[in-house]
Amino acid sequence: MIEVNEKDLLRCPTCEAVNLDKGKENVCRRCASPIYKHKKFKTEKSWAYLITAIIAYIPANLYPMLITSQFGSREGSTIIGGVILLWEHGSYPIAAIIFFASIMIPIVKFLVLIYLLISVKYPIGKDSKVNKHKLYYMTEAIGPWSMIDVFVVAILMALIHLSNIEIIAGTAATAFALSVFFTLLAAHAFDESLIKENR
Amino acid sequence: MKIENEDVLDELVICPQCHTLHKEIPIKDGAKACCSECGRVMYRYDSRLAEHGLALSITALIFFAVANFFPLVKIELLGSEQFITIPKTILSLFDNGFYVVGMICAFLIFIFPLMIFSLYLLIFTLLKFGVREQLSKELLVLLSRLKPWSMSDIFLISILVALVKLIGYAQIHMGISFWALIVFVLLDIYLTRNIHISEIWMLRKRVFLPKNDKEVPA
Amino acid sequence: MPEQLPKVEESTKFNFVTSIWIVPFIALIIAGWLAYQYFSELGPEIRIVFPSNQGLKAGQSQIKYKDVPVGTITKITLQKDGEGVVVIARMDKVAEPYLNEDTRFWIVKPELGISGVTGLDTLISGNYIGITGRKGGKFKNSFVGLDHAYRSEMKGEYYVLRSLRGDSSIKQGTPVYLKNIRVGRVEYVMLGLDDIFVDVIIFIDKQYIPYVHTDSKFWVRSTLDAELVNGALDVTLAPFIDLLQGAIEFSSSGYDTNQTVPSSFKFLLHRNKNVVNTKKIGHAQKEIELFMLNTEDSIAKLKIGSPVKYDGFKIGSVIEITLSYDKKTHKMKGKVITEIDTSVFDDLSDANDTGKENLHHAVMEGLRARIDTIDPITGRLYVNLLFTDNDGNKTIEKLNGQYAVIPTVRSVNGDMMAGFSKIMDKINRLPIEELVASLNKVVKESEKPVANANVVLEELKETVKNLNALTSKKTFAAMPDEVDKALKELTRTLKTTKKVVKGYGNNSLLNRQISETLKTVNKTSEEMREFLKMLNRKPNSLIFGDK
Repeated sequence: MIEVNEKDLLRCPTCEAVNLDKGKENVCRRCASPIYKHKKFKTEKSWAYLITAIIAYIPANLYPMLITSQFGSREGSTIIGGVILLWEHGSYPIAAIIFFASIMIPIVKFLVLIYLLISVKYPIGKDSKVNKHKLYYMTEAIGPWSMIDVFVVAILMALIHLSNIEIIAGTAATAFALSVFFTLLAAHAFDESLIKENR
Repeated sequence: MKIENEDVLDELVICPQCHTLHKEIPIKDGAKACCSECGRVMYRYDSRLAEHGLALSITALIFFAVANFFPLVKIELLGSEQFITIPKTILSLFDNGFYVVGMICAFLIFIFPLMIFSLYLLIFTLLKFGVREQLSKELLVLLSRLKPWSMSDIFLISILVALVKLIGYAQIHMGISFWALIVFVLLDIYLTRNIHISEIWMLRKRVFLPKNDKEVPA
Repeated sequence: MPEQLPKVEESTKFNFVTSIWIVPFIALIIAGWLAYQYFSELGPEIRIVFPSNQGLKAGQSQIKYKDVPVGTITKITLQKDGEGVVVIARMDKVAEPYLNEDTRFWIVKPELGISGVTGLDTLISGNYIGITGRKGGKFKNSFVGLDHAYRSEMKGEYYVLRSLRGDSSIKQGTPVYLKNIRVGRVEYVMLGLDDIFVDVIIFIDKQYIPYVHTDSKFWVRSTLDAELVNGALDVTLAPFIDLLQGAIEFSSSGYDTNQTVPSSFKFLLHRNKNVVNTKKIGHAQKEIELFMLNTEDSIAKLKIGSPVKYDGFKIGSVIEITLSYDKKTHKMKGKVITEIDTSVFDDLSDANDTGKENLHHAVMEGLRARIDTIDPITGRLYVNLLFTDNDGNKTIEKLNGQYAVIPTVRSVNGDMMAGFSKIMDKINRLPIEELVASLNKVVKESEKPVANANVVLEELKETVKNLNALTSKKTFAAMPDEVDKALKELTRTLKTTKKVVKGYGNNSLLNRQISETLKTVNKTSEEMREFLKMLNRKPNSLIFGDK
């Protein structure tokens, strides 16, 4: 007979089995994948990825995302530049959507992850109404959708490729793709069970 | 609480969303078990999971092949017709020197989805015929790792967004691949969302149970 | 420890059991059908060899039949011997029956064609390969592409334009206009066989051929045209593209519309429009004949290309001159071969005789050839056909194997002009400048102020200036009279100067200078007067060229 506290029960992220928290090295009973992999560096991986993502986000907004080349003359537009153009054009809804999806969401993701990561070490927001699990879940769910920007650029580039008129991606595309990629990695590296600590 | 041994834990389920502990109760064929707190579906039961899964995987792979082979979108721009296929899109990234983005996209919309469904196919085949127990475990673990990284559905929406940007400039025709991709994405969603990994694990347990007395943790 | 019980939702979904395998089955059928569609539409793979790859891209560029895509280029490689480019393309099924011996392939790119710029759509879509052909015939899958654009619908005719001198602005591709519409282009420019002419071969589009008649005139459009129209100067600058590529224009008067142009017909390409407008002599049915003249006159300034004129109009030109030395008379005898458009002698009201016959009759009635001067300053010569006082019945002699010879008369004017030239030379050689200088010196050095000296000096200077102006003037008509006047004035001035200088004492140098000059001037004046007398005897004043 083992005395088990509900709090010590872990959910294996890989196979969803219920496991007993045995301390340092937890290995899932069913699928043998490790839980709580790096107890010492619980959040280091996540922090590292997150910071990389934030750093990558800066050139993503400074450099042009899309460059249209017509008969040799090139015109590039950054994400923010595109939003402003659309706004001035009068396409308020599209401008709002792009602003929201390409600028707000990544920043919100950064903030949420920072918040979650900090809250692991320091007890902030302990009694907040916001269910951190839900926050994390939302971040993880919405995260990949930021890739739409990159895919759209790739599609346009492949589509508009005539002999004299073409669309080329800018360096922002690479930077943005990397930023989203690392944000996703940061979210995955963040072991959910860590949230439990301050629940 | 007091439990005899760890195996009792097999009868427990933790809601992925709100982490409430539940007891895993057997349910009828086709029924769903939902979290009492947040209502999220935790698991379902399908007696013929292996077959269903197999059929769906094959279908998905067929549609995946179609979606990649035929033209996705055809546009008419200033009298010139252009079409793209998914491989072409990725290759155009490489052609223009965007190796990083090209690699990322290649994995996210081609390699990973392909791998995931191939894995499903393999796993279901193995489970159907009850062979290669260890392999099935490893494949299942690999599957779990890869699942979040397949973005075919996001790619589909991206196509629509890209087309929205081109509405005024060119005439657009959807190609065969577009519809095939839609079907593929639907199958993808069904297979990855509705069929929980835990169900497959449970299936595996049932399949290999007669051979083993108890689970062997690695 | 509280463990919750999950809420169970029964499912009312339909029984998957029987139907699940239908799904992949359907998928397979759909995919299979699509694949079948695709492969059945695939046509054969062909290879085409081009001399060079002009903007074609593998995997992208298409083959189009009348703007409809019928194939795509899959690969482009170099030919083994490096002499060309091999294009491998996959054609659509529909194109298969058209692939045979008669199929033609060419690269469509922006270029200047007969009807202007063609292939502009390729700026957007990229260069593509055009195909034309007909159905049937034995199947072929290896072709050699054309190296120029195929003019499939552009049927037409070739014509030959002949000009004496090549015009550097006329080259292959130069457009041909009719009333400012582009109707054709220059295909070749080559030297005539006899090295004298330049032949321009033009291609006129089929629909404009009815506008080409035997009397059509062709000319080179000039870059700048200035015309006096109703008293106002009308300047037209040719379109920029003309400046780049030149242009030939033609017009038809409407004569001879019924006659088709014979294939060996040679039109004359005029240097500019004016030549055509002002001289409507003869018609294009040029019956150009060669005639020879024998002359002992000085023909040093008669050049190849110098005109042959009748009644002031140019009717031909000199095409060859040979000189031979006559031992007995010690003169250089000249043989001048000219080409004359005998059609100018066509009497339209008398269809019985041709122009050539009329010319013969004219010669019998006293028409002769004479070498005259175009202008006295340059001394350029030309062949003038005119009626002289009858010097016996002569005809155009034609000996076998030689040219027909038009009899000539001596050019009296030649002597006269020579004489005039001599006079001008003498005037030019008068030491007037030195005279003036000396006079200046004397006046300066003199102590006695002589009232007249300065005045005279000024006068002398003025006279000299006028004289200089005269000798460089080009208004020949006034020349002899003015020269005579000037000489008279000079004489007077010099005489006055002499008187004045006398008062300065014994300036032997100056005196002598003045005396010498005075003598020369006197003599020249005499000659001038003789010349004038001679001139006045010939009211024709043919020396002075066209009026």
